[in-house]
Amino acid sequence: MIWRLASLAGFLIAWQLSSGLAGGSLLPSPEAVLAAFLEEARSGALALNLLATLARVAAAFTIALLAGAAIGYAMGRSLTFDRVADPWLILLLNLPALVIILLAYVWFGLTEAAAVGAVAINKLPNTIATLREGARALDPTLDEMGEAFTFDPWTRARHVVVPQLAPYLAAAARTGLSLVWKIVLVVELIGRPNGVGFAIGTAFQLFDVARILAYGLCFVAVMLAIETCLVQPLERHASRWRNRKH
Amino acid sequence: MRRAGETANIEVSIRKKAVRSAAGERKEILADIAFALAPGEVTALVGPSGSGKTTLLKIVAGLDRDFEGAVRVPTRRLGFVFQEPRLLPWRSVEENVRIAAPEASDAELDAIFEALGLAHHRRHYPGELSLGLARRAAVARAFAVRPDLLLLDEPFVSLDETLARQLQEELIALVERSCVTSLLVTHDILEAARLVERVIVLDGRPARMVADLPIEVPRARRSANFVSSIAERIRATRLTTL
Repeated sequence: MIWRLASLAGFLIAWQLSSGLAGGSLLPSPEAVLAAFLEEARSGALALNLLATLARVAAAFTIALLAGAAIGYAMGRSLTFDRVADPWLILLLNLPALVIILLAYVWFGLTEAAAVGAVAINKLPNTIATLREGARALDPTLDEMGEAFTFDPWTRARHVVVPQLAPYLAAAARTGLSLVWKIVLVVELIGRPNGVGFAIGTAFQLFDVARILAYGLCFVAVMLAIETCLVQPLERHASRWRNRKH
Repeated sequence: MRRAGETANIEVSIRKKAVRSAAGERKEILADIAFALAPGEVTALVGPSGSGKTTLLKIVAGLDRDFEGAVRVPTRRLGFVFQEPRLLPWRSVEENVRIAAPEASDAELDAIFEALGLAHHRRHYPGELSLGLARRAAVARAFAVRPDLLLLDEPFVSLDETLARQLQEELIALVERSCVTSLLVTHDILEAARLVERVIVLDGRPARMVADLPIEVPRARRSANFVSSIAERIRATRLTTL
């Protein structure tokens, strides 16, 4: 903890010094960024933009994770489906995010659905590939056990399959969250009238570096909070059976 | 030993069972096996390692349908004790049993856990158990479903002698109390001679039935001498020796 704090203090000092060398307009000092942050917070723009972005992140993340898990599981379990869907997956994995975003806006207009959909599709192939690995690694001896004891599909899913996929779901969620929020900012920059990406785009046009940094750091803080308050406790809960010893 | 109202036998008739090896060639592993199990009968299936006993058990359980022949199991509920315990590592012992047997009452589970010495381990996860305890949990799960047919695949293998004997006693006590039709796979001839009422011997490649011996003397009255004489008789039926 001490080392972390020391490291953070070192970062702030280096920032202050560089700001003095580079000049306030290129790299504003920590106080200038704090002032920009307070001003945005007071006007209500910060809360509005953060909420808009978080809502998009949540929607795109959920869609990508659910659809990706279902498709990935099916590909991992069925060789035929895997052969059919694999070329599509490779295409999707290698299609640049920007192309998907622009096409979504061109085809479906500058709408919320197009924005969220484009982000979800960007995250989708990665989730599919991860969950496919998970489905391939499912233990056949436990399948057989479930069959011998005639587990119904719900019991099988809840007690046999999902616990085995949990590490893969966690990995997909973790990489997903960081990927999704970065792409959400691009989507907002290009075609949305609010959100952190939009605010940063406006600040860029006004050459307001302090505001760019204020939003950027603010977003990092929110994501860190989600990670420590939501993702990590969930992971601990899901893996509690691993850690217990007499 | 016969359960009232249940007269339907379990009938197994396998003409041929082949598997495809990793190299791609088809190898016949079972041929001309036919027997019937009367309700409540406790039968052992003995044979050398790799003679297809586990495969036969899976066919009887309906887990393997890729064979020539027919299996008639007029029962719904199946209790299966696999060679490895096959518990869900992310669920406690009690949860493992309850998931497989959602209809079992608390009193029934208490009795089963008590009989198998698991009363203090209900909340433990399988990873915290020794192999002996994990086997017991697997046995508890099989009994909790109130099976009409109990299939046991080498449930005492790789336990030390004392532990194996102890689990055998507990298991047989449960089998006798519930009068469940049981099929026990083992390569241990003495174990079979001590525990069951009938021994079916498999041998050869592909494995065929080489003997079907009833043991009439009740389990409790079998002396050590009697057990070894039975074991001798089983051994004498085999083409190959262990």
